[in-house]
Amino acid sequence: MNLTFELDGETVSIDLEPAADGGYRARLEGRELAVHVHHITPVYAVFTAAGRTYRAQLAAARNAHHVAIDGEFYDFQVVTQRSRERSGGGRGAQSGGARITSPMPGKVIRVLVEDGQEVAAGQGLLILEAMKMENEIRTPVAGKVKRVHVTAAQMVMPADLLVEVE
Amino acid sequence: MGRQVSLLRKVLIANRGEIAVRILRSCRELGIPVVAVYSEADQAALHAQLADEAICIGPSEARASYLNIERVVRAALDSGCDAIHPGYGFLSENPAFARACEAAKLVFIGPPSEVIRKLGDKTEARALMQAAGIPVLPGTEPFPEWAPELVTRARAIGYPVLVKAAAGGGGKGMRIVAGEAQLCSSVEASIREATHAFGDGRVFLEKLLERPRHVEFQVLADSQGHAVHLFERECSIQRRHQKILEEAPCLALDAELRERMGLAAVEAARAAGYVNAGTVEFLLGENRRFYFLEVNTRLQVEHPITEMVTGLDLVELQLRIAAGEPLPFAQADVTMRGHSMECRIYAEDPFNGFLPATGVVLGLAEPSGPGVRVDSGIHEGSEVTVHYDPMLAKLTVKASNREACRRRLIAALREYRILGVTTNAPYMLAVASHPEFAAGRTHTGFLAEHLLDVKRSRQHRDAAVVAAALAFASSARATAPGAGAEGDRPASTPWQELGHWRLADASGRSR
Repeated sequence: MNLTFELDGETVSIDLEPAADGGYRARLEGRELAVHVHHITPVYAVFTAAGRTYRAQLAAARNAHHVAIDGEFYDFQVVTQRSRERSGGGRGAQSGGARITSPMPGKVIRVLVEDGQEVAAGQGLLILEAMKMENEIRTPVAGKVKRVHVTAAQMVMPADLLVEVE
Repeated sequence: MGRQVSLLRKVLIANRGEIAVRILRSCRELGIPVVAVYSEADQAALHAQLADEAICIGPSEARASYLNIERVVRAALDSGCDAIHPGYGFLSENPAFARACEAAKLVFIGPPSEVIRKLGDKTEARALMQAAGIPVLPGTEPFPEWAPELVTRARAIGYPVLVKAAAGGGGKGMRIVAGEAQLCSSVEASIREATHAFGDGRVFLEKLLERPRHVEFQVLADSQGHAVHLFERECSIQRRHQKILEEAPCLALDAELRERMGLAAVEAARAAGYVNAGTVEFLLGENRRFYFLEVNTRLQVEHPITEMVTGLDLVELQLRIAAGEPLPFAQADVTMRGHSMECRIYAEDPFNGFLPATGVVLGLAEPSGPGVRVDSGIHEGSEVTVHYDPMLAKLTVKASNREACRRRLIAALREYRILGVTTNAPYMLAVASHPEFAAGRTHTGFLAEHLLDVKRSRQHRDAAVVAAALAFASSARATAPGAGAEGDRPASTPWQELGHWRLADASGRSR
């Protein structure tokens, strides 16, 4: 599993693979770390990385993961294919509609629009639940809903296409 | 102690956050029912949840709720309270509020309204103290606008001088003037700021001490005329005149100086006709000279360090004094043991100009252990808004000596985890870890001198990235549907790539 985060204004990539000993092998900026997870819940993890055991407090919101370890606080933004395109491609495509993708893994609670509906910029398209938090997913552009790709109760992953606006 | 406070039937707490919770705890221990008030933004706030009754007193803006005298008094009367504890901030030092309580035959848990009024006026307080023989800093009377006379007055005081708002507090309207060139512009700027903040633009000049310590004495006075002090607190660690870390005792005092300052504090309370708990603030120069600053006519934010070193419960004592009981001890009975430090946890970003932070507390783990006390007004799910003071909690520790206490504070700060809302906790860690702080060489300019530019600590960066990746993968798994419901999701997902995810609950590897 390869993941890219934004942290303190820089991007950091990590590759996490299962290891033969039941743990994981993390590759991070050229370093290789053996990882063993002792306990993990949505808010807490106890794990050993490179021989040292950590207790981390966790919290997730939208496409962010917050981590507290030993008096240090880290705010990670998940960099998805979509957000990479956005930050790389500028905002020139805004008048030409948008493909709204999921910023995080979660469950669609409610779809607020239907195919063919006119929407204003900033209008809510659907409610996505992740980590018991309801998040409204909004359209960055005004236009007409070309197609809603998800239905209520559906699970979605980061970068999954939710709604197309044209 | 521990006897019932027989004269108070039911207490309304006119505050929110950690101090409302702290007051509530003492009331509860004394068997006094508590009524909380809350704004619409605070319906789910901790203080409202913990109280026996909670009354909504208006919209989120403090002016329409927590600062609304009529609504607070009405809530107390409607709920059958016979006393109001104002906490700190909000209406606590507003003489009109104390007067409104007195008029409604409600016991105001604090000094009489007239005492609040005269001590709240810095000039009147200064004159009062001067008359009582307590040293005050050389300075001027208040000026409503710039006057050329101020040039000669400033020269007589000697630069640097401080411009201060007559109605001020919290550093608003305060300016340091290094020389004559900036005097006029500084005075005018202070007047503008003071007018804006307090509706009263009067400012005065005062001598600025070099590297002074802020040393304050806790005083208690009962309605029978007895007054004692509960020793000092040093609050020199200030960011823009806002205390952020306090300790007791103060390293700069020896027994002789402590006794002299304590006597001056008690004398100040007597001179003002003080009743209940109050704090007499002094500036202490490097030459062991001390000068009266002001009296805070309320329970201080930093009162827990006094509780830690004296073993007394200040809120309980406030309630007993308000109920008309005499002080249960004399000065000679009060002793101080060990060392205590408190740091304030604010919702602000120390790495981004200390901008106030808002958000929802998504994760919270408070430190614990011997000698560790957390006064907190938040819980997981608390929303931190722009409406109120950004102080979320106070971490207070105690140990047998200062260095042990400092190390305990550092350990506790490392354990403090507030996620979802950015806090100053990493900054407090940097302060507590600083060698000059460890050496006890503190003064009110300490932070400006040593800790202006603190870098984010990133010692555990690799582990944090691993933790974020684990969190991402496990949250993906947690929200995954059962087998066969994959739908048209992409062929490759984190939990598929990772293979069998060894969660604690599934593998039994936990614990």
